[in-house]
Amino acid sequence: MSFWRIVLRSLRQHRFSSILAVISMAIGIALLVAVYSLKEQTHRNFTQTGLGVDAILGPKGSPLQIVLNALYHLEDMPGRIKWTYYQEVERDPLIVQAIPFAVGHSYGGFRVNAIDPRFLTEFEYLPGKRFSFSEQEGGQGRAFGATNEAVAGWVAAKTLGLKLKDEFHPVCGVYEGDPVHETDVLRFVGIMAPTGTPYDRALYIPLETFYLLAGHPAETQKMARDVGYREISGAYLKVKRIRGGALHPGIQGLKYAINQSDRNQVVIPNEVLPRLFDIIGWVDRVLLAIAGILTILAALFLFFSLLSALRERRRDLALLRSIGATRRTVMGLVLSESLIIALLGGLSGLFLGHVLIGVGAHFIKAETGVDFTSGYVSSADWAVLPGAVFLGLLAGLLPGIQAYRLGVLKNLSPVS
Amino acid sequence: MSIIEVESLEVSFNSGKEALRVLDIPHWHVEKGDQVALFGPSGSGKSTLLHVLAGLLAASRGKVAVCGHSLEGMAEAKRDRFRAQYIGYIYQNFNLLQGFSAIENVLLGMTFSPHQGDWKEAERLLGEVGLSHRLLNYSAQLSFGEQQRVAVARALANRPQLLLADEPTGSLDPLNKAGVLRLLRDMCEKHGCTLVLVSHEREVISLFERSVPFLELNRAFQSPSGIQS
Repeated sequence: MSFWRIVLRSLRQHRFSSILAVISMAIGIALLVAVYSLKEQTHRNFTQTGLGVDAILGPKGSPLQIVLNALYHLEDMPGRIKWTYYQEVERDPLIVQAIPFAVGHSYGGFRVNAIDPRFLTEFEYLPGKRFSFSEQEGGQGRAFGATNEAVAGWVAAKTLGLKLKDEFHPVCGVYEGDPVHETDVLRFVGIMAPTGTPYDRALYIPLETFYLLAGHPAETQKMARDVGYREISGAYLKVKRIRGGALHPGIQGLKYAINQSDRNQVVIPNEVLPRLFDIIGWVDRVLLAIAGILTILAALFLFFSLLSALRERRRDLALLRSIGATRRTVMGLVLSESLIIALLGGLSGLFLGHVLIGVGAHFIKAETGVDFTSGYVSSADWAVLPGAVFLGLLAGLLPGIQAYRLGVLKNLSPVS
Repeated sequence: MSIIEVESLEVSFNSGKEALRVLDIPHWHVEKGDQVALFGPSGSGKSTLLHVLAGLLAASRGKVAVCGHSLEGMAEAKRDRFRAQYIGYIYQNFNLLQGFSAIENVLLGMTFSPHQGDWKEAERLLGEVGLSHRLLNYSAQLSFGEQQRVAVARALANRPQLLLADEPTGSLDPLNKAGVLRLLRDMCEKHGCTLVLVSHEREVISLFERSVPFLELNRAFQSPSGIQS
């Protein structure tokens, strides 16, 4: 009979406490895995350069608010900027591309962004990647052309069940109860192929349409005709790059110059988002601490269940010694049991953690639109199994030493 | 050829300030293939002698050679390996592992020995003790007599040269007692194994051609003041 078969038999003998130990270990580790993965994915979601925007030209106000609104379709834009100012910035030699947009509308819970048509045809949301309407890539239709046309991001279309030629009335505002532009009918002519970015979670209409909506006041409609009077919410800026792909250092000078003005500012998302993580970092730390404490409690539970099992098994271990098992062998048996429980707990926890993310991702996406995937492999995933082995060894050490020191005769037959 | 050679063997335990001497055997030997019964009352040190012979307990003084191996000064791990290779041990209370079936208990007897037996051999041994129909039963599902039969099969599983039986019939009814004893002796004969059995029951001893009154062998028990020294 092999060593491992003895270990498995012994685990089976104490299956109730062994299963409980595996479950408690799995729960602790699952939470650790899930929290870590969410933390890393949040970071990735909010900092990926794939969003393709080097800087945002926007009104004065909270830079974080501008980033959240312009890129993640959250919050409100704190104001507007003059079209003429945008044109001035666009002409700066450091600016490679500037895409103006106007926000403030919604439909079915998704933001409706009025945007320059070049966004759909020329803007690269990832290096070398532009938005596509190709059916092979999961899209449908085409980019908007006329002012009564609209396109939908993939997630928005899927969530709202949109089809080509569907019509809708945009809501003037982004909150429940905001008025609907009843007299304005827009028609979907395209559904964008999925990009895996927040761009999938919005609807897009031509910038010009924003000014032409019949429900808007006259002064807004005047902006369609008079560029001197026109205002926009902001513009996505692509900045000239230097060797190695870094932003041209001149951007700091441009940013400084623009930020001197009373009404405008340039926000660089990669400078702003770390602040967001500073703000919400304590939540991560609290969740990690809770998960860590749970895992340690699970290891303690394993320790006590091994100790308790050892008390019941003194005679069995003494008997193994009497038929030739060495002290090291019986210690190895106890340690192996601990390791197997910890590894099973680790593996189950890893699996459960990803299931948790998968389930949670659905709700998070529905609530915030931020995309999480259960398939994401975080740095914690790599540490789970070595960590479980370490905890298993730690939990099994004292019971193992007790097994090592077990007196054979004391625990065997009565002496005659 | 002697399979057991004992010279000036003493075993003492610490009891407070004084040493409690439980074994004092000037000379004793057992020839290969013998079947010897040691007879004596409970507490006379019979089990202690078996523990010493099995290498479970180190002698305090004297020489003990079993199966050609001198046990004095032998490291514990080496004694464990010695036991796995040469010794079979049967206990009064069977000492079967509860979570293991009858055949797994027999397989365990082979696990630590250099002779790596297999399922077939364990099955054959259980067949020899009349339990081929109980292979997969756990000890709780076996009668006392059957449990002791499993213990006999397990003790022989490592093909030992010496089988030590410590009150092997102590927990059995008279019918099972005779059956187990017969089985034990037949199996030892069949497997060429020397048997040393200890018992306090006269009817058990009477079945052996060579029986040794343990009180005559163990001088620690001969002093009028008991075993204090």
